[in-house]
Amino acid sequence: MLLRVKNLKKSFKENVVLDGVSYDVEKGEVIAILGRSGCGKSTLLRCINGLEQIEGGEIYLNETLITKPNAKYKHWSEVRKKIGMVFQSYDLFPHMNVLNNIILGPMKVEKRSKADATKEALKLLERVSLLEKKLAYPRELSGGQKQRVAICRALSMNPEIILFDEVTAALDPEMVREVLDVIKGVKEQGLTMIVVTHEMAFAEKVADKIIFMENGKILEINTPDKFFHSPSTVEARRFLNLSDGYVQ
Amino acid sequence: MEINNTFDLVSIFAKASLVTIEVAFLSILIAFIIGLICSTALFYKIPVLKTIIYIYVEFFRNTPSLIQAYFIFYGLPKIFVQLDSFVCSVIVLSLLGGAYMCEAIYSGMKAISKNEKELAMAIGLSKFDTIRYLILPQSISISIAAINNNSIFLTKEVSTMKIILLPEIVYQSFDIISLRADLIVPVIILMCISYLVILIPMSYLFSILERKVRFAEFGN
Amino acid sequence: MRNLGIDYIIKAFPMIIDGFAITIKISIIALILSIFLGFIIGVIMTSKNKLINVVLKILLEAFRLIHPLIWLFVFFFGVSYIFNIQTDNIVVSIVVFTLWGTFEIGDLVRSYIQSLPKSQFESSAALGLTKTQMYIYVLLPQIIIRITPSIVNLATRLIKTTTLVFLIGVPEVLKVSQNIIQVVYNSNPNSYITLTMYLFLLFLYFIICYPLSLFSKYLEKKVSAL
Repeated sequence: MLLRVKNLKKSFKENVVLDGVSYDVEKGEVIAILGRSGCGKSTLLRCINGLEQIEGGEIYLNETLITKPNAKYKHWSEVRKKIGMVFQSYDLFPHMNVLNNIILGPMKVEKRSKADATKEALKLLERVSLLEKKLAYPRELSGGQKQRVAICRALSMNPEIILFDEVTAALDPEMVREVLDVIKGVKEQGLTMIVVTHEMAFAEKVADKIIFMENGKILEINTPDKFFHSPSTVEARRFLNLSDGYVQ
Repeated sequence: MEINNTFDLVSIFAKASLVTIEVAFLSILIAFIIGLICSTALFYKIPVLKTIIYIYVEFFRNTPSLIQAYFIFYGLPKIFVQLDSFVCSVIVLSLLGGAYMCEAIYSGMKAISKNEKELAMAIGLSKFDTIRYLILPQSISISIAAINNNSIFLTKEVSTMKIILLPEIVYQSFDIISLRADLIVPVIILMCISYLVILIPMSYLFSILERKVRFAEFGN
Repeated sequence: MRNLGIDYIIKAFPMIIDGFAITIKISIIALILSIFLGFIIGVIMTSKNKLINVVLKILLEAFRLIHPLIWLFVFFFGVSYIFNIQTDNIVVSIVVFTLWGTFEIGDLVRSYIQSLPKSQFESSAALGLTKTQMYIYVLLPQIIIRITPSIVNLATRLIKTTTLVFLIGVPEVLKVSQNIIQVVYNSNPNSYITLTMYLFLLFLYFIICYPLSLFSKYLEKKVSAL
């Protein structure tokens, strides 16, 4: 079991955001987390790599507990080497060109040589068809291009699992496609992924498991086939009806 | 000067503070008017005037006020007339302040969308009316913070005018010390108190002014 | 032409430049120290410790509200009287202007750190960078790039204000000029030298400060494109 989440609890002030969330992720699995805005899916992701502190429950990576109470920053730096994350707002480093954005992690965190890291980076850029932009600066790129670079940046660390936090939500429709294709490619490499998304068609095609959340609780975990055509919970049916009319 | 007791000291500083306030007040006023006129000229890109104003602004912003003061007080009288230190101070600070005010108001003008200017022309509003009712109120509202900062800056710069013998706070301080070095501690205290008494209420009034005037940023 | 005193100015040119050099030297030393100390103070100012923040804020306002001239006065005469030592006017000048610059830059650094999008912190952390690495490779470069126009602007103001040090006896350009004027007056009381000398000084400062302020505006444009 690569990742095990047990009874996660988190609140912001008086709002309960995560109310006893549990699930498992096997190596190589692709999980899509769906739900309305505010149901806690982003927070769930951010708890896994320590960007949010939890108030109850445990998370195990490779059978080791990673959510130590009062864990210091240093503890999480170690954990984050194995967990990659791509954000909705790409957050590339604006003062570095594309190549440097990608090799910063490998060089400084994994202590790889510049030549080594660059070779890897160029391979990654080629896979996402952005090799010719290797010396460009983030401000010269489109949203879709920036997101693809952000994915390369996460991949360059060779993580065991990658988290995608609504990565296409801020993009124009034309660019959504190019990024989703890249994510499909990442799946083909066999990497374990947790994807929080609104793109239903994408979730159905790419995910191995769908987790449906509402109000901080997991209401249904199912295969995409079953979830999109015959969901077991009332709330899921309501949710799918309201989204893009996907259910026949 | 006779310094027999604390009262003498305090009265010297009180008079000096008055001088500072008078010079500051006049300079700020005139500087603001100069700023209004110059920024309007720049806004309408009047051919020859805009170059002159540009040179004026850059000149006063890139040279020390100290030397500007010396020039007008000691240099100009050779071809002009000898002015007393009060008038000179007001002239120097008004010109200096005018340059800063012009810059501040003009950048406020630039921030107003081009559409408004064109809209005004399309309606047939005269240039004067456009400026008076549309452009100026908004520019001032946008740049009020800078205008206030400039005013406080000018008030502080009055101390620089000590060198042309303006009997303001720092001038008197230097003067007293040259006679009675032992009075340094009370002098420093009085100096700081005088400035705080002038600047803190000023700062407060300006922040109230800022709040009242800053309507143009909202609703955008 | 003789009456304008131009030939005197030409003859005394080296002395004038020497005096000017002292002004520039004081400004540069103060600027470099201010940048260094300013960054340190700026980072300290972002700490959550209330006491530190209040103390630093008071010091910052003190140096902002009170003109450097007054600080020169306080440090030069005050220190010498209270501690009974002879204060060196150049040292006092450098100290005062360094303090002024340090707090100005410190406040800028603080505000730039606080205005960095939280996402930059998060995406660096998500990569596994340590806090130090985050500051050195991601945060500081962005702050340095953003703060440079303001530093150039501060340099200009520093150079203009350093002229004040002649009031505590530093032999900088204004003092030198006045000596020359005195000499000229002794031989020719009708000379127009005050007119030309001060005009010349204004010109000297202009050719240093104007390019600096143009440079600052240019930098601002480039930085806002980031």
